[in-house]
Amino acid sequence: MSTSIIPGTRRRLLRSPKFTDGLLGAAGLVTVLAVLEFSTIVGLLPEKTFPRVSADLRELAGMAGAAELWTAVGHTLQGWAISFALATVIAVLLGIAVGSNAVLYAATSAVIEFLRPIPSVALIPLVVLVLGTGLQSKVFLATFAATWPVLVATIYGMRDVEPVALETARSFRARPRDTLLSVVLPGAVPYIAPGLRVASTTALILCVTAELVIGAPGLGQSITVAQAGGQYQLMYAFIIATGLLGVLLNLLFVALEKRLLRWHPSQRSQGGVQ
Amino acid sequence: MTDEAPMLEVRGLGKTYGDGPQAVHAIDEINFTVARSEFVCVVGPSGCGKTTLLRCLAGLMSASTGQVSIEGRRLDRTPEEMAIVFQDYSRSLFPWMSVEQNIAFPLRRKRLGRAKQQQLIKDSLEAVNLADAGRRYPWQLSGGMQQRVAIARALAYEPQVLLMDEPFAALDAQTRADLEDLTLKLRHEYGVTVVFVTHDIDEAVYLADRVIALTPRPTRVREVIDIDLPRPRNQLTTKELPDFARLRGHVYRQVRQLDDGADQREAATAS
Ligand SMILES: Nc1ncnc2c1ncn2[C@@H]1O[C@H](COP(=O)(O)OP(=O)(O)OP(=O)(O)O)[C@@H](O)[C@H]1O
Ligand SMILES: [Mg+2]
Repeated sequence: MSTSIIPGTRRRLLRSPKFTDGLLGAAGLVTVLAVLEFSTIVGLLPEKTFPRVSADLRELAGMAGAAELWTAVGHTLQGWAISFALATVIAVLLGIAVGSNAVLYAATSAVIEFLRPIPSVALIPLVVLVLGTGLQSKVFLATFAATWPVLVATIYGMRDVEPVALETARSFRARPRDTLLSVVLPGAVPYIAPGLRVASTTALILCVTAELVIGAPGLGQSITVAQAGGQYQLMYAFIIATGLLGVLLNLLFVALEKRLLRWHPSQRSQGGVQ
Repeated sequence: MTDEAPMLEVRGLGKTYGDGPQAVHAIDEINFTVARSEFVCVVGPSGCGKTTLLRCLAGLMSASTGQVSIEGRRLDRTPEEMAIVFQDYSRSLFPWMSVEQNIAFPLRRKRLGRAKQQQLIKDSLEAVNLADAGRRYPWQLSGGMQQRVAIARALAYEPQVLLMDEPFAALDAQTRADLEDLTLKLRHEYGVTVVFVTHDIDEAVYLADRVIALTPRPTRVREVIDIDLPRPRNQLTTKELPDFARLRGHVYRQVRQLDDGADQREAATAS
């Protein structure tokens, strides 16, 4: 593709829905920031606990070169990565086993429906008692919470495989391994991919929660420390950083989903002949 | 006939779905044989159990009674030398795989080596006139092209028996005629035995060496009709032959269960 500057390209870009959406999104964000800033200036919000947004952002920009921010981000991301990976492996393997075995499915669905609604944070006291206040506790809580969306998605995906595709594989005497890896699992990806995106967000939330509540090192702990020290601008800077991390991870997974599901009717662009 | 076993033999085949009051007695009893390299079409009224019969022939479903053998061996699952082309090509092809990967999938188990496998893929795509489509995805192709990919996948598998279940029923008349001729050409080139299920009587008579006409449920074989039309067949000239009209009328009467006077009565009421 060339980056031609043909007259008209620009106009088409301006009218494209993607561009318009982006523009509207940016406008909304700027408006919210402006309202917050203005509220502090006119005294609607107390300056002490709600410093000006511009000051928070300046604080964050000032920290961009400092090790403190990146160490905190690193700790949070480390917890996120370990728990997300663990949750994915556990959930997909378990989901394959449960989803492909009617007996196992019947035996476990009640257990899953009982365990799944337990809010992970309710386990914090128990986890602190057993695993302490470090990385282990954080990873346990986040893994526990992030496993469910992927597990449930995998089970549903495994049970909703296209029967004709399965029959085709069977008619060619495909080996069970080939059928599982090349027919059943890809067919379940439309379920699993959104499950992974939810799991990623869940893992991040639980990591930050664990840092906030039990003081494991990371962004959550930095927020508490800043708040306890009365450094509210710093506190807001860390909160904004946490939010940005969440947005970035979500974007990453949206892109990944798009890539994995190129073949799926929901993602297919024009190019099909019907 | 020599005394060697027929390519396919169906003996006393019956199928009942479910049991108790909800049981569906789909196939009562079916017997027939298919010789090596023969082209047999199975026709019958809608819902008479053609798909059921084909699934039993393919070893994808077990019969309630009777048995199917291939070269004298009783089959329990789809035998090595058999490939199936399903009616629903868009579901039978794997949309997450390119055309080449779709064709390669059944070959994985055979461990042919890369060069041999590539050759098979290339040859089969050329055979169905899709030499350039290897890198594309099934959903980027038209319906007729997709079914040709499914046929190429079956050919690359190097089967001796090809089972096809109403493979062209979802296609428009033009594409359908093209694919019928393609099927005849491939049968000639590969010498493969074909069992072709259809509810289209014209199609059956045009393609087959023999037509097996089925009764409505519970299904039996009504008649086996030899189609002695000359080959190679041609969509225009073959269908203009008086013999074609005669055979077509005969099969039509068999499938519709009309006695000899009935068609005249039907014509009278229609006008
Ligand atoms: N899984 C099943 N369970 C119960 N009944 C079934 C099942 N599959 C098919 N049948 C019944 O068996 C009979 C034969 O079905 P089959 O699909 O083999 O017919 P067909 O000749 O292929 O029909 P068509 O012309 O519509 O393709 C039908 O009455 C159908 O309702
Ligand atoms: Mg059918």
